This record gives sequence, structure tokens and C-alpha cells, in this order.
Amino acid sequence: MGMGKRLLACMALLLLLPLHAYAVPEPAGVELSDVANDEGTAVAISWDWDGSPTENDQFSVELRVNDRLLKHFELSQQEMQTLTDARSWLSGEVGSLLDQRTAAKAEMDQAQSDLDKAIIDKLPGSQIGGLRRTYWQKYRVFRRLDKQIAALQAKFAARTYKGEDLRLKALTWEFLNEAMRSGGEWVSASAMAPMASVGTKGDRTDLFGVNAAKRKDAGRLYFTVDSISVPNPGTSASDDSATGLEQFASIPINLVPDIEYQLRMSTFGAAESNPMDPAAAGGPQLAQEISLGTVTPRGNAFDKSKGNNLAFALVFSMIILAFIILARRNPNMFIRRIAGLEAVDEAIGRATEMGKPVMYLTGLQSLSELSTLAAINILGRVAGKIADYESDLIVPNRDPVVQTVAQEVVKEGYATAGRPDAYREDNIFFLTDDQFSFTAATCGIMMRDKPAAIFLMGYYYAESLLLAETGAATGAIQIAGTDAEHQLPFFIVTCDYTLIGEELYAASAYLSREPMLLGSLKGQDIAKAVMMAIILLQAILFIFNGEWKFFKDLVTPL
Amino acid sequence: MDFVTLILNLDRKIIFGCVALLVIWPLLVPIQMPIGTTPEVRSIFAAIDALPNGSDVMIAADYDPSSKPELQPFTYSLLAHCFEKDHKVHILTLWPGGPALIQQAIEEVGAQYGKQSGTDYCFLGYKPGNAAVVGGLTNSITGTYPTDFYNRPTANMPIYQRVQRVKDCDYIVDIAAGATVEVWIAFASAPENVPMSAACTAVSAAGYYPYYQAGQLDGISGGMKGSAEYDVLLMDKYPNFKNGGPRVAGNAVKGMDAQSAVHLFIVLSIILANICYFIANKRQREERRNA
Amino acid sequence: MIFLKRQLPIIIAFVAGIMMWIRYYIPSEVSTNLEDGYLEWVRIIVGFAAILGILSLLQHHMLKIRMKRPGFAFSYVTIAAFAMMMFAGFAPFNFPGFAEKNMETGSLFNWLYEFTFIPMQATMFSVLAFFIASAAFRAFRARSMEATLLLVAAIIMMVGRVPIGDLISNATPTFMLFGNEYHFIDFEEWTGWLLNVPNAAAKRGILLGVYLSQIAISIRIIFGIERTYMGGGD
Repeated sequence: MGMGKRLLACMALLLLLPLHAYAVPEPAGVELSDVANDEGTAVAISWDWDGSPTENDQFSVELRVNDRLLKHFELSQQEMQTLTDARSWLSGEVGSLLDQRTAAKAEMDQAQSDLDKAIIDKLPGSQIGGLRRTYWQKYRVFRRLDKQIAALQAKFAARTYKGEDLRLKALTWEFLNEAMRSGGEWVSASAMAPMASVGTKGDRTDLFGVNAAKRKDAGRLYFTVDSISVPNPGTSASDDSATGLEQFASIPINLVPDIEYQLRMSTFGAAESNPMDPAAAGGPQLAQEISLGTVTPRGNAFDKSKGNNLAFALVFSMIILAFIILARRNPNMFIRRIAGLEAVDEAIGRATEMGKPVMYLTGLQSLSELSTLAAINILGRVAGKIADYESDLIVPNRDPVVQTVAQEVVKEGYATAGRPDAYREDNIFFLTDDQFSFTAATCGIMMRDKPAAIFLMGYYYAESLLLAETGAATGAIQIAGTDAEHQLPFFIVTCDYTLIGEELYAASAYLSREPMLLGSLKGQDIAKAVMMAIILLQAILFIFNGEWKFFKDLVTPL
Repeated sequence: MDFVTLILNLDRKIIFGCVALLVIWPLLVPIQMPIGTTPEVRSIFAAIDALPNGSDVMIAADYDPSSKPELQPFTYSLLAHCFEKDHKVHILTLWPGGPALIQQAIEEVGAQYGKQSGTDYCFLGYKPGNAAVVGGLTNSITGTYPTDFYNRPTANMPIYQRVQRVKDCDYIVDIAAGATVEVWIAFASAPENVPMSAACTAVSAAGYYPYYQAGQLDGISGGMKGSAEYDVLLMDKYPNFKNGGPRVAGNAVKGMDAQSAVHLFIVLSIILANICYFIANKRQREERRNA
Repeated sequence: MIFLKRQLPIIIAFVAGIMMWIRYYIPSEVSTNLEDGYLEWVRIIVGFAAILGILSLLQHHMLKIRMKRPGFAFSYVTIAAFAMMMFAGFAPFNFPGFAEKNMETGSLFNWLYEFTFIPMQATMFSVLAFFIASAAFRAFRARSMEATLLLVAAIIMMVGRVPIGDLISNATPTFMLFGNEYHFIDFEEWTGWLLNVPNAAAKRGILLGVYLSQIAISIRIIFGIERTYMGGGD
């Protein structure tokens, strides 16, 4: 090559350079797969970037409309009829109401601006009062019309919403059909996403809540496609002006399972390197369209990523059940002393001596929470003892369901102790649903009735100290038990005994000494020992900079 | 009765009186102590600030009037920050006592920024059933809340044309007086992979550190101090908050003086009580020896 | 009758428990619908239970008034307040005198809520500050090694979480160590360490124990081994 030609080539390159000043990365080693833990409405793409993306580089994924997809959204003759009927019914019903509403709105707005003006101009009160009344009247007229229209529209929705939203289905079909006909049969499967911040394969979204932003291990890039974006083509909805229905602007529609999709990725780069304002440079410019291949989303009968969870649950359940069975054969199991529960008899005895009642709280949560169930279980055991000692038992409740169950449990407790006559239903009552109103009322009862013993079991929030400190001020023996770990300090400083976390759950077994319940405690201990060993091993490995993949699989999604 | 016995058997009403005085006095005569910021709050601020303008932020204001002083200032500051960045705000509550407080906050801050309900923000209101509601939101926001707080259908709102479920939001903040943070982590943030922060009462803040360390929460704001820190960060970054721009209605910064004073009082009284306790112990021992 | 009271609840608990557990591992629409349906039922039951609660409340206070038990005058207040809120909530009209910024908030119910309920709740919550002060005063004594540690940690936290802590930290001299500058007293650092290390470690330990217990109690309930909550233990 001669000198001249070389120079020419260089000049040509220089001329071309501004157009190729940036290179938009391309996906490499693309793999398409079904997402293993969904209903068959999502597919996953994983890939590496060939090059390193900047903040302005973007990509989007599109999928090709095919006959089967189109078919899926087609309305049957009958559905079409339903939709048409419903639409004509609605336009007939709504008809003049729409105009009336528009007029009422205008009048109301006018009345409001008059009123505002009067207030700003500081007109006399009587005049403002008159204007306010006018505004109220206009407002009511408008609201009435608005409600009427909304009710009609709701009826319309009920007619067209037979399992599927017919209106939406029709719109989707129309849009897809349009896309097919015009030759641009690719539809956007995802909004544009910046290249630089797409998740990595390590950021599996589904398990134990590991936050993507904080995970360090970089892997392959990972992106799920679960919907196509369907903008309203505006043709079939044109008669909606007569029905007052608002039009959909753009709506994501889930992928349909068991249909093969062809995907492609488009990459975009900023036209000019002005990172401050990409919009000024005309926004992102299409760099390339790359075919990714085909993939079929499938519904899954089992979420494989939860496999380790299932394994853990099964093993743990087996251990507990095994110990329960063992406990039936060998009922003499050792269980460590829990001071708070040893003191139950003392507390109730003291109440009897003093002739004062015993107060029992089951926490502030509903019955569906396990800590409340644990508290109810303990109440059952304690009620029997109280009946034995012939003391009164007061149980204020925050939840009517808990109250009903507590009544039943205490009644049974008294009956088992052979004192059904001593049971008084109105001592187990509902106070209020509101946290601090409940607290105030309970504290009031403490101050008036001065119970000799107070049990604070279950889950508590900020009111823990209010209850426990008031109880302490009345001089009662207090036994608390909670798994609300941030309320523990308050109970520890104000109560005589505190059951910490799992002791609350062990209490029922401890008090009953029933072998089967004690067996489950033993099983729990074994599981805990295993977990402690795992944590310790992992910590040691971590110190020596090692890692055993098994541990990771144990707690992160598979 | 000498001083030591007096202190050790102090009537608690005297302590109550001192606390009352120390709360009221700095509120009337502000000292305006400079407020330092902690990494936990800075990371919430940074996360909201780093979202591209116009992102969708879901705010769960799960508290009621009883924790208003601690958490309402945070709601105001967070809303102001979001609107300053033109974020779309989806605000709701899982607490029955919450709606009135949110309504106050969102209407006031929204009006200051000229934001439109339904377009720039949506106040979804209250729905009972913690986990059920959050789980529902992951399927469909408009399905779970067919109407907003003002009884308008949500499906037609411009704000919900782009956003369908929690997954489509860019950030979640739970402003919580109770145990709703775990619910949001377990049912929304973790499964849907939406980053999240929490603002909670000072009492419960310590309880959320394990989540913070595990990265399940980007940041934690505890009580009034957290709110005050957020205000300070806002004022540093957006100077117009300082001089008559959009009013951050939070009184958290003002409240910090009172909190400092009371904390100092409690610390000093604990120390005093301990000194007296030691003297009394010593006396007892001497008496025993003498006897 | 024993079947309705004993066996049937246990069967329901077993079937529902196992079903909801298996459901967790199945990602299909059927399982989502199952859960949604279940939660809907819970909501309906809770709604009806509210009626029970109201009846219990009224009954309790009526009885108190009839028996003239100590403090029965407060029962009048309770019933009056209940009736008032109920009336305000159901009243189909607004009271002009209670109107505020706009019509929506101008109802008597909202007025009562905002100007009586909110202040009363805030009052209850703020009592906490006083109670914490008195509890701390009584309880934080250096009785033992553990108590002293607790005391020191509490003081660091209390000072470190308010601006005065920053003031003190910044006022103390600094020293250099491995090329970094440290304050002799640095409350921010210390409180951060306390929260992130000992606090988080203890919390994790307690939580692990709690969660294991919750699994165990769930198994006991599902298999009908724990039946106290149905009334009567064994």
C-alpha cells in the first residue's frame, strides 16, 4: 500500500470516527430458559456483555407475534356478543349522564373558585357562608352523578369480566393483529432497561431475600421477560366516549404458557457522549437488533428453587416427630429449669393469699400468630392452677377472636380442675382493637383492681413498657414471655421473670410435662445444635477465606 | 432522711416532672444543636436520591397517631424528597389509624409541589390483613386496591398504566411503628427483588439491624433522630429546603434538642442513682462490720 | 358432640396446615387462588368476630354498671364514647361546624378522630418517655458484672443517639493509628458497633431459637399434639 493510499484510509477512518465513537456491547453466549418457579408466564435470558456498557447504553427485548399467541386472545363469537351487548347497554344507560356530569363539574369548579376568591378577598363571613353552601350543593350534585356513572361502569365490568377481562382481551388481540398485518410483528416485551445495571445471575430474585444491590458475586447477566406491553390501538375503544370508560394507555399482558416465542434483543447507545443530558442528543440510538432464539414458558408443578427449603423442612419435621415418638416410649426426659415457669405457682399462690385477682394478657396480635397461640396454650395450663387455688382470673383482650378462644380455654381449664362453678365468663372480655386505647384500659384495670400477679405473654409492641411499668408500680409479681425481641429489655427491667423467645413456646410443654410435647422440645434442640454446628463451620471457613458450596446451597436459592 | 436515701427512694413523679420540664423547655427555647448523620440514614437518602427522576416509590406508612411525633416528620421529608426528584409515589397503610395522617402529609406536600393525585401520586388508603395485602400487591396493585383513598377507581389512573405490581416499583420504604417491616421484606422486597428501606420507632430500630446487615434493608431510620437526620441531609443537598422553599413540615430537628436534654438527664440520673447505690451499700457493709 | 369439639377441629387444622405448606412449593395459579381464598375467609371471619367483640365490650360494661362495681362510672364514659363514634361514623350527613379544608375531611367522624382520638393516642405514647425514665432510674444499678455492662452500653447508646453525643465526640482530641485518625471518644462509632455487633448477634440467636420453636409448635398443632388452644389440654 502506497503512502497516499494509507493517508486516504486514515482520513476516511477519521471521517467515520464520529459515527462509531462509541461501541455498544453485544450479548454473547446467550442462553434462554424457562423460569423454574412461576406459573409459566415468564422466560429467562442469561448472557455476558461483549464489551463494557456505559450508563447510557440500553437494551430492550422484543418477541415475535405468532399465530398461537394471536389465537389465544381472539374472542369467541359468544364473547364478542357479550362485549358488544355490554357496551351498547352501557352507552344507553350512561348516555346523558356524562354530559350532566361535565356540566356539574364545571359548575362545581366555578363555585369553588368563587369561594376561594371570596376567602382571599376577605369578604364578610355571611357572604362566604353563602358561597360555601353553594359549593356544597354543587359538589353533592357532582358526586351523585359521578357515583351513578361509576356504579354503571362497575356493572359493565362485571358483565365483561368473566374470568378474563374481555375488553382487555379484545384490545390485546387487536393490537397483536395490527402488529402482524403491518409487517412489524415484533412487539416490545420489556421496557428499555439500562445495560449497566441489569442483575447478575447470582441475584436470584426468589429466595431468602438477598438484595441484589448488595450481592458481590458477579455472574452472568440475568433478565426475566414476563409480559408484553400492549398499547391501546385506539380503534375499538373509539366508541368509549359514549360510555365514559377511560381508555387504557398501555398495559403489560402476561406471557401465555406453552407457546414457543422467538425473542430478539435491541441495543441502544447515546448518539452523542453527553452523559448529563442524553435526551438533548436525541435520546438513545438503535445500535443493533440481535436474534436470541426461541423459548417456551412452562407452568411448574414444583418450585425447584425452594428445594433446599423443602429438604430442611422435611428433615426438621422428621427429627421432631421422631423425638415425639421416642418420648412416648421413654417419658422421663430431662428439660432444663425455667425460672419464670417455676414461679407460676408462687405467683398464683400469692394472689390467693392476698385475695387479689390474677391478670393474664395474651399479647396484641391476632390468633393466626404463633406467639398468641403459645400464650393461649399457657393460659390453658395456668387457668387450671388458678382454679385450684381459687383465685380470680382477669383476661382483657385486644382481638375478639382471641377473646372467644380464651374464654373457651379458661372454661375448660376450670372444668378440668374440677371447679367449673368458679369460672366467670365476663372476666375474659374484649376491650378495643386499638393499641394504645387497649393499653390505657388495661393499665386502668391494673391500677383499680391491683392484681397480685400479672402474666404478660405473647407479642407486644411499644406498649410493653407501659403495661409492665404500671404493673410494677402496683406491686404485682410479673411474669413476662415474648418473642418480640426488641421489647425484651423492657420486660427484663420491669418484670420479676421473663421468658425469652423460645421459652415462650416451650412453656406449654414445660407446664404440662406431657411427654409428647417435651419430645418436640428435644427434637428442636437437636435441630438447633445442627444449625449451630453449620454456622460455626462456616464461620471458621470464612476466617480462612474458604467456602464450601454446600453451605451456600443450604440457604440460597438453588 | 439523708440525700442518699432520698435519691434511692425517689418518688417517680419527681422524675416525671423533670422529664416534662426538659421536654417543654427546649421546644420553647430552641438551642439548635448541630445534628450529625449516621450511615443507616445516609443510605436511605442516597438510595432515594440515586433513583432516576420519575421512578416509582412505594411508601407504606404503617403507623398511627401514637407514633406521629416519631414517624410523621419522616413521611413529610421522604415525600418532599420524592417529589423534589419527581418520583411517582404510591402510598398506603396497613394500620387502621394511618389514613388520616397520610392524607394530611400527602395533600400538604403534594400541594406544595403542585402534584396531581392519580398522576404523580396515589394514596391507596388502608386495607386490613398485613401479609395478605402485601402479597396481593405483588400480584396487582389495582386489583388489591380497586379504589384509592378518595374512592376513585385506580385502574384508570395514569400512574397505574405503567405500574401494575410491586415488582414494577423501583423502591419500597416502610415507615413502621409495628412489625410490618418483616412483612414487607418477606412478601414484597425479597421475592420481587425491589430494594427497600425502613423507618421505624427508636425502640424497634435495634431489632432491624440483622436485616440491615444482611442487605435486606438498605437503611434504617430510627425514631425522631432518624427523621431529623433525613431533614439535615435534605437541607444539605437541596438548599431551597432551608430558605422558604417547600416547607418540610417535620418538627424532627426541633425535637432533637428536647431529646438530647432528656437523654442527658436520664444518663445523669442513672449515674447519680448508682453513686448513691454504692454509698448506701458501703454504709450497709460498715454497719454490718460494726455490728 | 365430642366429634364436633375434638376430632373435627383437629382434622381441619391438619388438612389446612398440610395444604398451605405444600402450596408454598407450588407456583401455579391454583395454589395462588387457594391462598387468596383462604385469606379472604380469614378476613370474613375476623369481620364477624368484630361483632362479638362489640357485644362483649357492651356486656362487660353493662354488667359493671348494674353491679355497681368499683369504677363503674367509667363504664358510662366508655358506652357514651362508643355510641358517639358509632353515630358519627354512620351519620349520612356532614356537620358544617366540623368542616375543615374540604368536604371529605369535614365529617364529624374525622373531626372526632383528629381532635380527640389522635391527641389521646399521642398522650398514651408519650407517657412512654416518662416511664422509660423512671424504669431506667430504678433498674440500671451496677449490681453485678453483667448489670454494669448493660449500664455502660445503655449510657453510650443514650448519649450517642442524640446530637449532644456528636458534640462531645467532636470536642475530644484525636489520635493517629495505622494512618487513620480516631477520636478518643467517638459515640457514633461506638453506638454503631453496639448495634451491629453485640445487638445483632443476640437478636440473631434469639430469632433463630424463636423460628425453630415456631416450626416445632406448627408441627405440634398440625399433627394435633398440642390441643390446648381448642380448650382443655389432653
